[in-house]
Amino acid sequence: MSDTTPLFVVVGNVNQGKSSIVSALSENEAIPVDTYPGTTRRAATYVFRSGEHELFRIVDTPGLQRPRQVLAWLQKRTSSAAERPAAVRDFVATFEHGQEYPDEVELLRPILDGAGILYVIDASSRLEPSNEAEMEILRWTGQSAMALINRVRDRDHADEWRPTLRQFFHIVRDFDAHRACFRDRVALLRGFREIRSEWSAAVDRAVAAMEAEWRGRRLRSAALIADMMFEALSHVEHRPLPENGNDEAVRIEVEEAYKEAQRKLEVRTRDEIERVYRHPGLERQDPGVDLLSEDLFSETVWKAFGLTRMQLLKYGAGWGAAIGAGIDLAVGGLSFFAGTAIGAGIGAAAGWFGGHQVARAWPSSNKLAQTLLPFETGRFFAVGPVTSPRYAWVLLDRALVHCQAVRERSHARRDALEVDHVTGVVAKLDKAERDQVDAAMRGILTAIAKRESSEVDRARLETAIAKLITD
Amino acid sequence: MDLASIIDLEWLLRDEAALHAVDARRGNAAVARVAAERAIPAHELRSAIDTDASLRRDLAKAWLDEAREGVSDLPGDRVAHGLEVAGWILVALGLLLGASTAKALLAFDGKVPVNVLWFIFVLCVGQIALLLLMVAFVARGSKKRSSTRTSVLHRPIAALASRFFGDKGREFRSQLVALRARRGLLVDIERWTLFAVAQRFGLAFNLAALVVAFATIAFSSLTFSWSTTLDVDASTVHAAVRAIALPWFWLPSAIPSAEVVAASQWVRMPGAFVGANANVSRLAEQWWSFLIAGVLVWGFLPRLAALLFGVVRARLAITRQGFDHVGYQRLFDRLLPVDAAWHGPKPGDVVGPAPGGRAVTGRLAASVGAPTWTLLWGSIARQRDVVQKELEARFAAEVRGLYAVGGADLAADSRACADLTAAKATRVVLVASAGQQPTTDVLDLVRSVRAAIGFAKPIVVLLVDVAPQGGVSDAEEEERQQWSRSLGALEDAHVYVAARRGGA
Repeated sequence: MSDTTPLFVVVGNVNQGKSSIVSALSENEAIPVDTYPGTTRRAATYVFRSGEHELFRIVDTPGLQRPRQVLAWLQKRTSSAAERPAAVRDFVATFEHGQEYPDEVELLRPILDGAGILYVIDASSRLEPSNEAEMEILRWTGQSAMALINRVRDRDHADEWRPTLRQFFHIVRDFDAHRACFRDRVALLRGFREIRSEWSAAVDRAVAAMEAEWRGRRLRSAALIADMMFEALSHVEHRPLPENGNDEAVRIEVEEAYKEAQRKLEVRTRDEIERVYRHPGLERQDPGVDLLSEDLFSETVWKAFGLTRMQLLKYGAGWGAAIGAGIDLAVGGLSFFAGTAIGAGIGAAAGWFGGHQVARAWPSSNKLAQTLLPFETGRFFAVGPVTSPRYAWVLLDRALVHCQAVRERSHARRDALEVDHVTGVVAKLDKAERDQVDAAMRGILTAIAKRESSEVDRARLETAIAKLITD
Repeated sequence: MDLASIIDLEWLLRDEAALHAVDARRGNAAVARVAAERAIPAHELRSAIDTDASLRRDLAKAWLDEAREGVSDLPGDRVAHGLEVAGWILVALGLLLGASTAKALLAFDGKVPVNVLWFIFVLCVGQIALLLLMVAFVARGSKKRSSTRTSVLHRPIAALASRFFGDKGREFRSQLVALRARRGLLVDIERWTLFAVAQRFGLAFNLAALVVAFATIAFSSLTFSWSTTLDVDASTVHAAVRAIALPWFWLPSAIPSAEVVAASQWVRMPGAFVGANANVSRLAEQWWSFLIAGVLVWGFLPRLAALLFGVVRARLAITRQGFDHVGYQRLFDRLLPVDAAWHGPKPGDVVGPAPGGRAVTGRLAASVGAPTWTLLWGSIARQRDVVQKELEARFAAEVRGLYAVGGADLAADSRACADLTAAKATRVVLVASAGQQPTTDVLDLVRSVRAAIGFAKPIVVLLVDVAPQGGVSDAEEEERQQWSRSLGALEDAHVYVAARRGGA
């Protein structure tokens, strides 16, 4: 660590949410956060590195357990303000190896090493005399400090705290660790510049690195969603039909396997996105509680996500035509483009009446099925690719809502992921944005049906999705 | 990067399990190699990987090179080798067919001259038609999207592999299916690779036709003519010949003149040239050079160009791959952990033990009118009147004494304990504000109170929030539980946490 590497130590009474703040800032869900006092027993340093360079350090500390006694000890040993920092040093030196004040020693040591102080209070608790003792001790260390008002519970006594905090700290900020999104974290980090002006440049470098990394995550998540849409749209599930067997049983099996494959794709993409945003192994709410956990093919989900009926009417015709064109091509134009025209009509009707068919089923005698499954010989039954714009938009909508929920989720939280808003986002998109996404999806579908390269459309979809993922 | 590499990469990246079959150390070696080649620190690769396609390609290739040393049985070489073999089979077929076609078209029994119209129709006009089809195919492929009708080849390959090669064949077929999982993204590679392979046949065919035609002309004495049942005169045939010879108009010796065309018309009955004075040797010279030029210009050279074009397009399709689908994303995330990231100790290294002992679970027996001594911790002391009323209402207690503790004056705590001893207190309630934590400081006070009042007398902790207007509300159940756990460390069976109103 160089001298210019900013070092901040997070201090406060026990159970004020210090570890939650460090957890949120350092995007670390593994930091122990519990409700019993003294969860953190040793000071833990979290380092933000860009490559080999340390840009930022933050120290999580145990809470002050006996601040009144510490202050009394210090007061006994000083007769003037000039002696106060030395008295704090004496305190650490005296109790360094004892059992009387282990948490206070752990907490004060990094401060005496020159760290900036982030004093955390829980605004859901009252301002106590012990808190005043803490603030006084911190003032005695002589280090620059900022007060952070956190909220562990619903009670709010922030107004009671502020006048006192302002007496001890020239910077007082609100920071809800459990609701802090990236913007909040960056804003707080920028605020750290005010604690020590000589660290401004280093803090700026750290913030720039974080922002670049954040942008990269947006691109990666857009690529992942585009990839999911590409695979979901193009997926074809098929099974060989047994000789003289039960074709109906095979049909049911293929249709269920098709839906299962779509579900797996969605889950895989969610896992990948959660990994990108450092939320591995995120718990999910039970179905019924949270729409993101509800089955992809449930009526509730189809009502909550996707486009409006009018929007589907418009896009449905385009989708029907795209599929119809695929059929025309598969039969070498012998249909005289009836497929395109009929498909457009059926697509529009399905859009208006809200059809639930995700994909069409094909017997092996169908030309399109043969085109899609060139390696299949003999009799088979196939389902796919997706023919329903309604389904495609529902799938995309759920992915966008999930991605947004993951992006905004604070790493201080330990509960299951859920979304606050119960409706999707795509219906409210700007028309031009929606047109772009739909054109790209249709392009993929058309290309697949015609056995053409869909790379261009996939890239278009990725670009369009990236624009939809915003902070 | 070549076709075999692309196939192997797709095979290894097809799912998470396949990716993890490659040792992580090999990944590190690949990263080190690319970093060294680019002369930049390995950690800086991460920031460029999202935007630099060439870096993605180089890293994927380096990783594949390493992976190939650890994973056997990759399909890339087999598929590439299979295509190569197919290419040579096509070359052999082309040579055979080209040679036999030329030989048949130039067959001369010494009596009936060679009818050049057959030769022109098969090896010039026919090839011009094929050329136009090829141009249409290429032009379509040059649009934004490129179409392939390769299923014509796929199905017989799949059927043959499944039927004649048993398990191996079925395995090969399943590999092909897996590789086509991303068909939409790799279709250009497939298209142009197969296109180039197909051109080998055309090139071999025309080469053989040229060589055999030239050899036949050189080593035997041929007489050329043209003959037709249709009502076509010499001028029409000459016009057609000139049209075909347009590309070599600057070489008149290889274009039969009008007189030569007229003189070489042959009628089977009575078996003579129409022109009585036909100069057979002059006819032969002008016709053979025209025929050879026709095969060269309309057959051999276009096929050579098409072969080169196909090879170049296949290579371009490979090099223009984005290397950015989800499989690659997974690979790069594994190879290059995020450049800018937080690092910290393991959770177990910083966490303290959970409070020992049992949680306080006992329930205070209701004793109406029992005398109660009350300690008011910290800020709650400012609300002593409200608290007293609350205690009387909640416990039906007779409040004998109210003491402020936990304040700035440490001596007040000691004085309160001394008073409790003096008063022979039989029940103590410690009231703290909701949100107050059971710190060591508080637990020390409880120990002091126990010492002051003696064993087996109840000490009750009550957590309440008092609003400025005097309203009293309970702390949350979670806070009560938290105190209960912490007080359990005292191993004192007569310490209680008051239940919430209406709670258990």
